[in-house]
Amino acid sequence: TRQLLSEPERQYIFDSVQDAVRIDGRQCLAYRQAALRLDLLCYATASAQVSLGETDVLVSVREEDNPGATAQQQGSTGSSASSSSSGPVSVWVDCSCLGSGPEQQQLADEAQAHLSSLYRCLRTPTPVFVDILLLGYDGDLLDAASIAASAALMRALPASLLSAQALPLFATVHRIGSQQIVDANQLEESCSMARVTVGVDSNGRLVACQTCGEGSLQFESMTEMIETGVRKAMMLHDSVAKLVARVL
Amino acid sequence: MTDILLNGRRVDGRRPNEHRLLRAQLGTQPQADGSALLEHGNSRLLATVHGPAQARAADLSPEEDCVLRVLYNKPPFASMTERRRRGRGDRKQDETALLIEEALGGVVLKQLYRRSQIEIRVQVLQSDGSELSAAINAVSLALMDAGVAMRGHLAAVTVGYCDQAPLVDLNSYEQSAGLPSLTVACVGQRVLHASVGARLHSQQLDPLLACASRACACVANQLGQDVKAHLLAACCFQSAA
Repeated sequence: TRQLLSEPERQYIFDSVQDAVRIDGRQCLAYRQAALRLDLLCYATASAQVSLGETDVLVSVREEDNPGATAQQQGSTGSSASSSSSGPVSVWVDCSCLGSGPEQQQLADEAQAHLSSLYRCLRTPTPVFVDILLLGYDGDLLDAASIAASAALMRALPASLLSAQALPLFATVHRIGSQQIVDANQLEESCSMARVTVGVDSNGRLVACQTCGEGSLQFESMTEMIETGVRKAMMLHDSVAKLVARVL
Repeated sequence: MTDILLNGRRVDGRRPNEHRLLRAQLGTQPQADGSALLEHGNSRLLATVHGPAQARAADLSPEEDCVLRVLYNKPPFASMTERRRRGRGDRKQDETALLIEEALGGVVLKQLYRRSQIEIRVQVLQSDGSELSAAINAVSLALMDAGVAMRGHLAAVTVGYCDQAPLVDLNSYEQSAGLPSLTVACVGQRVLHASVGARLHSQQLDPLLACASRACACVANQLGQDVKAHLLAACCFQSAA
């Protein structure tokens, strides 16, 4: 559901961000209150639910022990075999909880494309299905989904694999006027001129980077935003690892 | 049929007339007008209600007061069996949505919501049998949370028949065994939906219906307690603030 924002409202949000005040009282580089819940679904290998403000994402990670049967099933239903050929981790995003319109479909497709590219480099012995279900949406879907997915993957994958390959995370930085903000909510997203989404693995390496939005970016401001994104992603990595370790 | 009922116990250790654990949380989704998260044994369902809101003119027919729209979504990871791959828009899901819609048509006081639309979205997070009845129970709670006027508490249950004994609340294992089953949704003593799965002898129908309506009353009672607890908590919060 796209919220309509009138020009004065947009201006109000824009001007207040210039003075480093956001509509919910946060600082520019602060995330909303986040909650992580693990292992809610007993049929999945691992599952995690992340709520970031009113954005609510549920992720189920399933390892298939019987890859032959899966391939056969895929062949028989006639669906594309791209999931098995593109890498052992396949991502599926569902937004139908938000409605059945074309906007929701587009949101799901975009998120699916982004998140698939993030996990493309991950290699696992058995096919892994990462199913992402969006239960509530208020901006910053990619960050929330990748936090939930990496928390669930940390629980699901064996330790030997995790030490060899670092799990990536997304951090999105928006530019509003001359200010950078992270974790934009839906209203701020609609005022944002440009955004940079960086995928950073837990060793601090950049594995994905994408700019979106209608506005253009100066080269210097883009590098600045990437740096902010990497810094924030490392912070997220730290807190997710701490939370998951507490459960283990 | 020995594997369904062994020494009077079922596969998950329940007695024939025992319902699985039911637990409901209301108002879990702040963005919706009403929402409920229902835990029904291993099943988990999230129902959200959006509206009553103005209906689009195209959806309204002249004789209809209020449009109830049900969307039912079961993601591929929800069942215990292997993760299935399928496209969006499944025929079985559409059918379930339609059945829920029909059952609700008899319980929501539509004449109070003229020319408006109530959208109900059911999201299955995990499924372990008795899907339709669990969905109806979840939707009924979400409608209560949204404050939509209803004739009463709509409760549903799926019962099966095995070894001359009715089994209350079939799980997915029992359902996949192809037992004769009956899904009933009631408000008090009034039946709003009844559907038979697999072949059922007509003589078995009466005891099964009687058992189902008793079970429905129990479900309504059990879930009603959760609703009361939610209301009480909301009242305490208000009086404290």
